[in-house]
Amino acid sequence: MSRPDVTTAPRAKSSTPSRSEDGYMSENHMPDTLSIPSVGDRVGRHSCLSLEEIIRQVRDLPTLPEVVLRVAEMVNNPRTSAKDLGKMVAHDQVQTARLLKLVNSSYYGFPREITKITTAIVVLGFNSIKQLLLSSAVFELFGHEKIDGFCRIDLLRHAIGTAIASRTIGRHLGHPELEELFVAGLLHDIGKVVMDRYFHEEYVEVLRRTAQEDITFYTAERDLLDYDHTVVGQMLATHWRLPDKLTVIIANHHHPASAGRHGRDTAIVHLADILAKAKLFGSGGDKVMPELDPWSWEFLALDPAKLEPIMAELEEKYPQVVAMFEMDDPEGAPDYSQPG
Amino acid sequence: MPVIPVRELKPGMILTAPATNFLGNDLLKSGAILSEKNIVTLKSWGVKSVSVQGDAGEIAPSGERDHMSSDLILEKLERMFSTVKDQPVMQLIYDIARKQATKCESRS
Repeated sequence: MSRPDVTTAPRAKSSTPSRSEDGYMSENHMPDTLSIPSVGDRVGRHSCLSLEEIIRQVRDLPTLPEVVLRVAEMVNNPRTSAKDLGKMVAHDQVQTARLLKLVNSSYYGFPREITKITTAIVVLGFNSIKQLLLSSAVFELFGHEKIDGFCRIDLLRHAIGTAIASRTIGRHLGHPELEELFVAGLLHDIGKVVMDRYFHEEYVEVLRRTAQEDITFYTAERDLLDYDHTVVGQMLATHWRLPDKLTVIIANHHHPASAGRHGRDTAIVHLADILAKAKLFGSGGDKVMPELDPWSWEFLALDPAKLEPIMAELEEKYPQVVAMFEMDDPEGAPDYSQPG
Repeated sequence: MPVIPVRELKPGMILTAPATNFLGNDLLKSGAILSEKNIVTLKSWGVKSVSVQGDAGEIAPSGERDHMSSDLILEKLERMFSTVKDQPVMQLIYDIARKQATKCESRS
């Protein structure tokens, strides 16, 4: 099965979402690149790196574990049983061990050790399984290295802050898919991680310009490079065969009005990004706030009075979620004590 | 309502906010009276700090922001929002962020 060819597919002219299938791919469906603004159209007229170079680099990135993709897809299928999902997860020993460890941790407080992945899936729930697998894959990409004084952990913290904010805003708006919003928030700036790792000189230059001129990271990278982290993130999402919706959100979180039928979710992540910055959760590299996209604010129709409780809730949740992500061993040693 | 590191928790302390794991699930509810087992649970989930009743314990670092003084946070916010204050919603977000940053500081 060939991967979508980002050298050709994005050159299609349609830039508005057109397909109405759900956001998750079946085995025979590649992500709908036609519904995503063309990378070819968005990347540089005077970029230091050529489009071909960026594509080559992104293609060399590790792929998302197959099991993560398949689980994401299966969870959305109402016909999937815990047994089906268990069989899929069991293909990957690392993920199997991780899930068993989690389900045997103290939170669930079961008197006996759960050794079957199917039982673990029933206990954790389909959506938690999906979120857990995606999150752990993302976390591995972030890593912990500190380069040139800029710590990637700041990016991770910003991502976590945005993830929590996305879910919190979603809940206040009565959004039905809070787990998905969490993952979208976590991934929205994934292009920056790729830039930091693989186009490091350009990335550092952007950070320098951002600091010198009091402009946003997005403005600086477009000034300097004429491609930006949303384009790189979109490429990675395509390379990873992430659900179409996630790819669209990553590509458009600075201009949600272009996200077509995923405009609402993209607008939520856009606002969440701003709230995470306002709370100084980590750093996305910005020295000044990006403007709130007026279309997004109008479209979401969020009661302004809800901003304060939402931001207070972020304050409460953030340290605990950060602590979980930053652990070397997120599940900890299993113990079987009963939570109070 | 001090936020204190989990390693400094003692049985009998009362949570004033739910303790959540990284999936956002509540491990313990607000108002829970901590037992030895609860503390082990929190540790095994890697929770670093929780909010407890009373003035026991010191204010613990709960993130990089806590290494900043209130003045520094306000200064940083002022700089960050300097370019967007003409947007009423951004002004509102700025006001809330300032208010909450000051409130955090007053807890110490």
